[in-house]
Amino acid sequence: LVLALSPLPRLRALLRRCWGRLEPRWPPGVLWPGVLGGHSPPWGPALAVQGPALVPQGIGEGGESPLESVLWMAAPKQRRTIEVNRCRRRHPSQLAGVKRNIDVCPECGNLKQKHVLCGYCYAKVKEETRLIRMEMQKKEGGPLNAPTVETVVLYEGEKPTEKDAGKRIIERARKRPSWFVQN
Amino acid sequence: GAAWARGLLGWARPERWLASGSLFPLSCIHTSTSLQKIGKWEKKNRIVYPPQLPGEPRRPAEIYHCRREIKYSKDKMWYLAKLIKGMSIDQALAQLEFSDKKGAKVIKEVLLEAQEMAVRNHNVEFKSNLHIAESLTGRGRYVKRVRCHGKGMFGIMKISRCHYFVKLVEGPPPPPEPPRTGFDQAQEYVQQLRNRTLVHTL
Repeated sequence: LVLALSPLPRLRALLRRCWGRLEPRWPPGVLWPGVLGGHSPPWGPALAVQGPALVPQGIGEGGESPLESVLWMAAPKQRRTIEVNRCRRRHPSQLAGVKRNIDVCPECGNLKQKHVLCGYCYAKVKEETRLIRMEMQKKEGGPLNAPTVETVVLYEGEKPTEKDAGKRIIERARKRPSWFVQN
Repeated sequence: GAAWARGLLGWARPERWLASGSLFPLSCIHTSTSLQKIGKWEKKNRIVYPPQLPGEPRRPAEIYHCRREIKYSKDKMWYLAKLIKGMSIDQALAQLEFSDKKGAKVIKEVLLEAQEMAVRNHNVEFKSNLHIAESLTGRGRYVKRVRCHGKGMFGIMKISRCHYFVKLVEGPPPPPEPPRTGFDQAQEYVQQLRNRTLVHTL
């Protein structure tokens, strides 16, 4: 049994410190472009105008100042009831659809999608390719040493024919897999 | 009623109380030393029905299985649970294998475990002869953590976990209900009108 210290008292202390720092900047998340940190909020009952000189106050009597335009933000007016929420979450467009394109692979018998290669057969081929590549690396002995001739893979008990005269031969110490067609 | 009560009492295994051999058989009721509470869904596998009479139709086997504290959201898991409700187990495994969701892998493991349990412990003959009678999700324990935003702001995020419950029943899946047509609704309405009677009269 391992006793873990509860993070709650540390979290509470952190929260208290953070809220203390954020107090003059309520509500959080609303950026006041002109206000410098630590001053009272612009709508407070201050006699002196505590706005920075950069904000053009006297420009438009008809239009609202940029400071007030930030107040108009889209916000929900009413809480969405659970019935409304359920209608949205359980709508048929949101539900996971039943897939009708699943078949059985004729080679291995696993399931596969109709337009996709069988995962099991692909994994088998990938593994064999990896081993062939390892053999090639051992033969080359380093990067950028690929030969300029073709390569031929020969399995156990196979001899190179006259067609494979000038090609590089890679030996694999196993029986030829049924899916690897011989030329 | 009585069979159900007897079945529940069978879960308490009274033969264990007398087999201990002590002078006070009631002192050994709590024999398990585990502090973890065993959930209700796990206990449902322990009910033992009395043997069936010769003329009764065969009661299909029921297997309850669940996984607790999966690191996934219960609302997102619900979509997968709703997908496989009422399917045969093979069809459900096929759908989950090609679903892109994270919970699909977890549910597939749970179904395979339940299938294995059914064949091993619950006397199910064919592992394909099972269908999913119930499939539910529940809320696990949430943990609150701090998420840092810019400018020293922070939010509190909750790390959600969920439980997944499944009940497999032996037999082919039940045929899907035909959708309610307008004609059915009209018939029901007319039947309601015909069921009206006069009350407090002769």
